[in-house]
Amino acid sequence: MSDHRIRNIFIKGPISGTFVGEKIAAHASKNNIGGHSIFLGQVRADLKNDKVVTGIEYSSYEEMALGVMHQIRQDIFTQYELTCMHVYHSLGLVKAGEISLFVFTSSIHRSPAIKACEECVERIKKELPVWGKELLEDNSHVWKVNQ
Amino acid sequence: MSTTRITVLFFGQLAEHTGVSSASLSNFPDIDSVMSELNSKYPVLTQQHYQIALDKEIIHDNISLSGEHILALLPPYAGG
Repeated sequence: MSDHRIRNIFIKGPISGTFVGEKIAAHASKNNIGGHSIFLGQVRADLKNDKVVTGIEYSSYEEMALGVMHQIRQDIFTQYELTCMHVYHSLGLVKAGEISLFVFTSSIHRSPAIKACEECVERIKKELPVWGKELLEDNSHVWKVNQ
Repeated sequence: MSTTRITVLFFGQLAEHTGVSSASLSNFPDIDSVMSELNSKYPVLTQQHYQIALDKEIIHDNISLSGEHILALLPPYAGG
């Protein structure tokens, strides 16, 4: 359910598959839910300046980001009939192939969960003050910019 | 006139290029005067893209300042 607390969304390091599995399992007792939608953002081993990206070092203006995320949450709960919504974002180093964003929405029927999940991911990418230093194989780096 | 204290926060590539993550300024009357001071102190800023947040809210216009404020320079976001 929506509430007025500002929640922390940040996790140090990558989001593990075990963590995602535990969060899914924790909803087994909420038997009014008929559909979950999950987005997992994964770090790509892109080529930058002809060098492979080995990981991303994430940083944030956390105080502002948590306020922005709170507003996104309020807007999405107003717009869609959700049962619950959970968001986790990594800070610090996340290696290529590891998960850095986990958005998890649930509703009675599938449609609100799917739409809310997509909108939440789009708004996070556009509005959350988070930066990513892409570390390259030769120990140089470039700064990631969202498309 | 009351004292104005401004803490400036630099993030991401702006912290890297200026070599600092924060700076303190006193007695500047508005955002424009703070930015002109920052541009002369850190000329690299004039070549960077960023948004400005005053007390955690994005601003687009000049605003008069009094009291204590936090001004954050935010380069393009890369979350997700």
